[in-house]
Amino acid sequence: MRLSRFFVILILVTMISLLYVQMQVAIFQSAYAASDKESQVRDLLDTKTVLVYNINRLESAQNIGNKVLCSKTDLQFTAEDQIASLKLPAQLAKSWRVNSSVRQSHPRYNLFAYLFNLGSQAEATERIRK
Amino acid sequence: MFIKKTPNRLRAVISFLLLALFFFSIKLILIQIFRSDHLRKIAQKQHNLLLELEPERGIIYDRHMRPLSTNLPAQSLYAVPSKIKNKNDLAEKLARITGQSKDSFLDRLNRKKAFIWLARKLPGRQYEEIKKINSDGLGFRRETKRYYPNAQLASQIIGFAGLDNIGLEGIELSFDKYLKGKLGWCLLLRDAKQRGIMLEEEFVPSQDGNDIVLTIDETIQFIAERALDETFKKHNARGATIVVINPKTGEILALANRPTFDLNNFDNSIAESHRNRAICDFYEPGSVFKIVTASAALEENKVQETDKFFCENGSYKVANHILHDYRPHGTLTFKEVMMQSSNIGVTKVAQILGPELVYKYAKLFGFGSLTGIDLPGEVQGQNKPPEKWSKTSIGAVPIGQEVCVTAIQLVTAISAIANDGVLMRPFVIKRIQDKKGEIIKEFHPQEIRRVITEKTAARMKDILAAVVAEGTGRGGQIPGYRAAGKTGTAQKVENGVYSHSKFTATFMGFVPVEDPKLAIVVSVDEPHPAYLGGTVSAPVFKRVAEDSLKYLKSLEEMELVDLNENKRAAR
Repeated sequence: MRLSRFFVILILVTMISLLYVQMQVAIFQSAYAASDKESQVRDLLDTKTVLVYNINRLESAQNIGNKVLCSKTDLQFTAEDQIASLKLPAQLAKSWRVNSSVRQSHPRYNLFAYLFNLGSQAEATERIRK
Repeated sequence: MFIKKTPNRLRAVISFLLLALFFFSIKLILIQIFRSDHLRKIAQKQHNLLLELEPERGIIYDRHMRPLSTNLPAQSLYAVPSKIKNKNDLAEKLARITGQSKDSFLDRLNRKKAFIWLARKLPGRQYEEIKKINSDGLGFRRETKRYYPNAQLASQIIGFAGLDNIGLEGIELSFDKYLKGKLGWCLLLRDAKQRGIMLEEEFVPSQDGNDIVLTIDETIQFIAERALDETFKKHNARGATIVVINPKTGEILALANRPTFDLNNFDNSIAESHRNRAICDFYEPGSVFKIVTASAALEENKVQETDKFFCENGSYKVANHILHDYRPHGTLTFKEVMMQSSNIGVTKVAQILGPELVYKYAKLFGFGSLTGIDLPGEVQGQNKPPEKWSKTSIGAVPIGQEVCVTAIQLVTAISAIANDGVLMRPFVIKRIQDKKGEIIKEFHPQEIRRVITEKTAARMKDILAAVVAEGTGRGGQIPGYRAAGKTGTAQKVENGVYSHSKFTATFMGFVPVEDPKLAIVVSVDEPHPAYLGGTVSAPVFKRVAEDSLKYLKSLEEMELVDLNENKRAAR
């Protein structure tokens, strides 16, 4: 074999080996980064779990009941005869629903602001509460 | 030429090289063939890290999917003693932060072990403070800890899980196999610093535990516990129990006992408070047992409501024993006998029935047998067969003496009357489901047997409604609703004789009479100074039933609103 060919093969093999090592290093670096991310995600999930637990605890019948009733008030569940429900005349109720739905589907906007503004306008819409 | 001149030297060198080659080959064969397994294991141990994947324990929910138990992350502190430089100083710091003794830490740090636990599942603040110490040889491992957002609500039903998330009492114990899940594991690569890297060689995922949905309603449970708590304290009682049940299905909506304990702090509670008295304690029920005698008499057509009984003006001899009424009565109708809870009147009815029929109906109502409730530790009580009755038993058993019952048996029995004569099995577990919501097991209402006919049940409802409207159960009246019930004040046995100072005050009833939604039993152990069932327990029934009915009504209305909104949205 010629010497030149030998050196070419040697260089090629060396470069492939170096590439292989580089890839291995990159894999391990990604693995370390993934471990760090996994640890961060886990911390966030743990924080979320604790927050959900605190919400559940605050919302619980035990907590709310004790706080509301702690000063020995006369608070109690409302009886049927203590609730008044109002009935709207049918025509009025219908027009109220139509108007609110029209307002929701066609929000008002300022043409000048619309043309010269990059963002969209935030607008509060009326809600019908039951 | 050089070689030709020195052939012996060449031979010596070649021999030496061949010998060396031979020894190296032997060594290689030894390493690669004979010791390969052993060396491979050492290499795997050094290069791989076996990580156990802890499954998440299943959650216990109430019937409206409100969590009654949950899992929170907690850090556990471990140490590698050989790497700790100043053990004394470290033990002192840890003792100050955790409140445990310095000696216990020092003792553990001085052990000749590679790994020791110092503190398991630390509270958040302690973890933050210990992290600041930053000592070599200390480390944290993440675990999960069981928490109960409602503290002591339904404590004896739910039970608790210990340090290793293994159920120790209540549902946590009896359904541990569903709740615990399965451990997983994964084999990670280790780096030169022995840290695990996220490159898995093998991976078996953990299986999270299944969730359990109870029949308990968190709100009704709170209403019941609050009322029970006030009565327990007001009457200086030794113990108290309440059970609220849907009489048509047997679903337990609430079950509470006093004394109780905080589930998040169970290791600082007394063992007595862990006992589920509603199913584990039996006692002589007293006059509430008269519903058995009365139902038997009506069912067997032995008496009518208008039949008259002379109540001997409060004193009646049965064999060699004098039976007394709480208040002397003259002649009462059968209905009035029940309204006034006359022991003499009921004994005379029992004498007409005979021991066999009294025993038979007590058995039909479930006394002396297990109800089959899905909670651990139930006892069956005692219902003596007629051959074991003495001559005075006819004046004792029909009025609730010489018979031992549990609170759960009482509420099941009164529910049979509310449910038109059909006895239902009480149950607490509604369903078991996995984390995706798919049902693993579901439990449905189960009829045990028909105890009395619908007609007899209607007559009993009428009589028990009169007990509340005009009789001893007036304390159980609920505005706007017609309630039915029976009071009971039973003397406790002390040193073989009935005590005159220790009583069990009971009230059991159901409401509304026309369409029963709730059946409730309230039992207070040794209340004083007041001790009558009508005075101590009936007001608890009233309060719990009143608030629970309002709550159930508001639930119905909310469901109606949701239904209408869905219909409108669909249009």
